[in-house]
Amino acid sequence: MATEAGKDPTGVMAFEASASPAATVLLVDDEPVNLQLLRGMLRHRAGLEFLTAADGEEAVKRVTEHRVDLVLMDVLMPGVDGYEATRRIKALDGDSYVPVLFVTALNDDEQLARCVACGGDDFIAKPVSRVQLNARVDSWLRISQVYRTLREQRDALDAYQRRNEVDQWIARDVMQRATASEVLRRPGVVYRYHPADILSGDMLLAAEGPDGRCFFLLADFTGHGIAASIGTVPTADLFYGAVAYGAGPEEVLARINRKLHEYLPANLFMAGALVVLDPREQTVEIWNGGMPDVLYRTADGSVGRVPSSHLPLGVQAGFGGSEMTVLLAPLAVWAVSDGALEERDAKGEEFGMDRAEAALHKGGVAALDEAVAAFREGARDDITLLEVWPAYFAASGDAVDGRGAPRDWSFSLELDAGALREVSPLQPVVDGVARMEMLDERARQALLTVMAELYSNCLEHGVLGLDSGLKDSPDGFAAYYEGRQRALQELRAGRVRIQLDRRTDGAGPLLLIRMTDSGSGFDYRGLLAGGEPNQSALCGRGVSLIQGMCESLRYYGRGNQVEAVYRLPAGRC
Amino acid sequence: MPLTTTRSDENGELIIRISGQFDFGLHRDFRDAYREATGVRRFVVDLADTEYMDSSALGMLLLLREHAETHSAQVELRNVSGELERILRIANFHQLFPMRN
Repeated sequence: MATEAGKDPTGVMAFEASASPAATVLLVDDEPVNLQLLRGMLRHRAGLEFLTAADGEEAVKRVTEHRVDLVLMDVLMPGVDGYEATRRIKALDGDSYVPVLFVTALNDDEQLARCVACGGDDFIAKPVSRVQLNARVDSWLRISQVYRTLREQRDALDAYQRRNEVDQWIARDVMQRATASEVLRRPGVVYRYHPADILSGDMLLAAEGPDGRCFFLLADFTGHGIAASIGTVPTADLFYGAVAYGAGPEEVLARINRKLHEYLPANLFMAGALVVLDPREQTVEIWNGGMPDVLYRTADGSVGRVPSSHLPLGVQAGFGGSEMTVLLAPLAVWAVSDGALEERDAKGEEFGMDRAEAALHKGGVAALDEAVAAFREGARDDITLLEVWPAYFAASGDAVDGRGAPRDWSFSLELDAGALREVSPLQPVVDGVARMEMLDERARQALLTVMAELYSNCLEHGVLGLDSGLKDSPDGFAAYYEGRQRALQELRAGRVRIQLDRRTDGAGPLLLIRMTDSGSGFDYRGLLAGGEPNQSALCGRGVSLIQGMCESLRYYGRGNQVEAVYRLPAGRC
Repeated sequence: MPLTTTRSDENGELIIRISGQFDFGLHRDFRDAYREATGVRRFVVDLADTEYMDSSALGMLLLLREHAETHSAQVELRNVSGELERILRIANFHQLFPMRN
């Protein structure tokens, strides 16, 4: 076998430069001299390692045991020949790719076709030329390397995708918990929520305020996936908190806007349609910032649209536009996300608002959902649809004629010694009541006065055991408050329980205020029966003040329980 | 090129012209188009050849606006028509960006 060793030094240099990553070449030949020859021609290459096999069976064994990047295969060998060995090597692992180059003196087409048929990749003609051998090995190692890199990248991508999917499911779970609402299951509400992916940028929230108004927010965050869903949880949290607190539509929107502007980067924001239904008045207020038109139909059959007239939420720091469109007794109201309108059919035509409007007036959200599904060609975007029938809300619940319906609640709070020392509970409690009962500022202050008097009696006389007789003289008055301060700081045992019950009687709503303290009580009989209190006296005014402001005031037990009936203004109930 | 940038030095304008789809795919190109530019008094986004824009494009405009604000420059949208105008109006972006044809 002739060789051309050393004939082309420049070519050799080029191979050396390009074959830098370590690679393993398997040489298969039953003639040891051929193995040596091939090896000799490739030996100068840096980073190349060699394995040898004397027959096909051994070759397959080598490939299973080692990472092999390239095989140089003799054709005719005793036992398992080159064709069969190649077939087995190629069948070993469908995922990895080991190029097999036949080193062969055969040159008729039929034999070469057999080499290809069993999975061979290329040929090197015998007698072997050093330059040709190196060129082929070089080029096939490069292909093998590209393949390996691709496979590694694909595996990394697969792993990333699996991890990402798990993350998305977790995020979806969190999002679902944060957004779930019982209000959506009420009669008179129909909705559809189809996320395009695991996570959706669409969000549908619904909550009932303390005054009975129902808030629905259909929102669409910019983008898709995790980035789009990241704002949903704080938004839902804020929304439910604000509505439960009795905040009006403007405040709900302003709070969400502020929080989103604070949290999200400039390019992420939330388009939203807020629908606020007042079941008693049968009015619906609509705010649309960046969503498709909100649609409605009135009882007399006329239809209308409320277009977006505000910036989406989170775009600007200040919340500008809070004007709402007010609908009087609409029959039905529909809000949809743009995913439904942007669906395209086979011809690329968009579904559009007109088709959506026709479907909604024909059969509501269910009809629209079907129409979009029938229209669509290919994958869908996030789609959320909401339908509200105000009349159902008036019919459900306890309300008979709406106005004056009982809407009662109870609330209790117990403070231990530590809390008595450190917490001033009255302000937040009274603020909460004022919110829920829509008290104006005057009524709120009046209630605060009553509550504060009752509370300080419980604390000062009951728990701290101070003698209000001390307050009879100006000096004693100061001493009394110093004593109160000291006693409070040293307080280690004691409690005050505040119980509030909102009830309704023939005259309207009232508040039953009960406070119980852990003290030993006092002689309330003398105090309550003592006739007109002396207005110039520095003590005893508290009780008479409460008596003046409440419908009734009673002490129980040993004087450590007090119950006051406070009439709430009979405004909006 | 879906995005081309021209400088007009006499009036300090940087014109970013977007052809075809204005969506998330342009995110990086769009940002690169204005981020390194110096001495710009007005960033102009020319939408004459833009066929489509989505909400991420709206987001990109807000990022540009933020950038412009910190560099005491203005942002203007040019040649807005048809569907793009509808999208920008729904989002009420005409409150944020002056538009000129």
